[in-house]
Amino acid sequence: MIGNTPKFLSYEAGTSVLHRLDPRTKLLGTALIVADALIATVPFGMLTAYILGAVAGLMAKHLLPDLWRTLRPLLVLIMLFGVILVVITPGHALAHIWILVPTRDGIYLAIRLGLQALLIVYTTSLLSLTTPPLAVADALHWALGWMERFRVPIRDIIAMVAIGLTFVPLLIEETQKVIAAQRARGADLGMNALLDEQAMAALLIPLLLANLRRGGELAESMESRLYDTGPRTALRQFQFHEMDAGAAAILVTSTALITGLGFFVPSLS
Amino acid sequence: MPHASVHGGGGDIALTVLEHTGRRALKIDTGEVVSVLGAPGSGKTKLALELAFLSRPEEGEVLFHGVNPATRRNRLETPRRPREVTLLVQNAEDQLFARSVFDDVAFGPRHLILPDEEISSRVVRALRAVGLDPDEVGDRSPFALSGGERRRVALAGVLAMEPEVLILDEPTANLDPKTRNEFLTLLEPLRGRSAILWFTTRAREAQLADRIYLLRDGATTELPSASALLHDWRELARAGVELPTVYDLAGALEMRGTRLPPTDDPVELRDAIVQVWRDSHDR
Repeated sequence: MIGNTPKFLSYEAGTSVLHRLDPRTKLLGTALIVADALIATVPFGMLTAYILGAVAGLMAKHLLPDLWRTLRPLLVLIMLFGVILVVITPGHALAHIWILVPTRDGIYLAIRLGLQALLIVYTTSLLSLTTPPLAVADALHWALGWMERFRVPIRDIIAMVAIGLTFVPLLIEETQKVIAAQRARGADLGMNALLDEQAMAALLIPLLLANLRRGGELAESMESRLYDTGPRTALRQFQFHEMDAGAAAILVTSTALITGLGFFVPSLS
Repeated sequence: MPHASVHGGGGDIALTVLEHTGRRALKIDTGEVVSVLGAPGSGKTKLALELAFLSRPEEGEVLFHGVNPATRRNRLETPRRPREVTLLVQNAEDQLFARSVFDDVAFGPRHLILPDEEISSRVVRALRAVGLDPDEVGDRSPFALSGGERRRVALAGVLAMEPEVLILDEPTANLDPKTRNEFLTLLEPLRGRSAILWFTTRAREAQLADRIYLLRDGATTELPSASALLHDWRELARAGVELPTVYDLAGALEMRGTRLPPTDDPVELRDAIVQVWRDSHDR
């Protein structure tokens, strides 16, 4: 329970190729793979996108068992939604089982959406596993800095995102602590707790209060250290390396290939 | 002796309510007050969670009345956590959530599915036991109370379960000295109602128990007697346990090479320290 905190969205220090890649490359790469997943056609485009994802994964091989453990519950969810999609999507009926009508269009849609969801979560998890949250924030600032010209407070938004990401592991740990505490005084926090108002309150109110308190303290401690009082300089300066050029080349080529496949090769759906 | 016949293991098993086996072996008998003394970071919270069946033991087994509730007799049976064991977690006042103090204390008993009258009488009794007036605080929001009062409400919440074993994980942590002493006086009347297992970093608090275990390097050792605890104060100081001030001072002086008599009596130690101080000033 407490102690084996899930690795979801939390940074794991390391020295793999993926760790050493420039955060900006990884951020843009993630964005590209997500875009690829959305435009890829089944089967060839998707296959290319998955090969791309696999290459990224192989650059941080030692993290894959952990990643698999995080993705496993998601797979169950995807399959469940898939089954629902198969029977509720209108289209060419394959069979009539009682009131359920699985359709060919439903199967195609389920496969497509399932593959998309899996690839997107997989890629973004890879990013957060191999990149410290603050580096992600800096990369985001590099990518979105131009919005400042339009008076979008992008720096503050990114600071919020970064702080949020940093606190995810703590939030998970705290949730486990609250669950243990409420179970210790008799609460039944199994699956049926989701339907029980009282049980949800027992879980959410202490969590919410702790987070509000932490947020207030954090804001005070940041302000006491002069946050947002003058122009800022960057502590970490990024430097693109040859490795990044290689990664960019692979990403751009695959994306072009996926787009091309979408236009010129017939797809299933 | 109904237990003896049920479990068939003789009188010894019938008396022991909760037991941890392995390197961190400890057991607690019905109605006993046992303390586990350990330095910060020695794994007290982990052990408390394991004993409350809220965390799977890293090593060893936890037995409730001689049986491990986690073992299944067949595949269909889902293991249930014994509700006769409750735990007051560290900083338990952070876990209050209900609209009123009454509802919060009633949270546990309601999960035991008791009749309404029984629930309210238990809540009233529990609140009185922690020194709060049920008529005065019952309808108030738990968030309107002070930190010390909220900790009392949290204690009432586990007392209302009327557990066989009450585990307290550093119940006086993060309380100011005055509130801490008030809180300690609350625990004395609980003696005999439940078996109490008390985790603490303070030698002085551990001494209030009938028996003391020292948790160190992932293993427990039972200390020979509560009064003899401070015989080994040098050993305890090395283990990182919080000792009464005179021992802290004596330990610090010895580290700097001051020679003190090999005594464990606080008065003798104090006098010796005073003597050392005088000598150094007369020169």
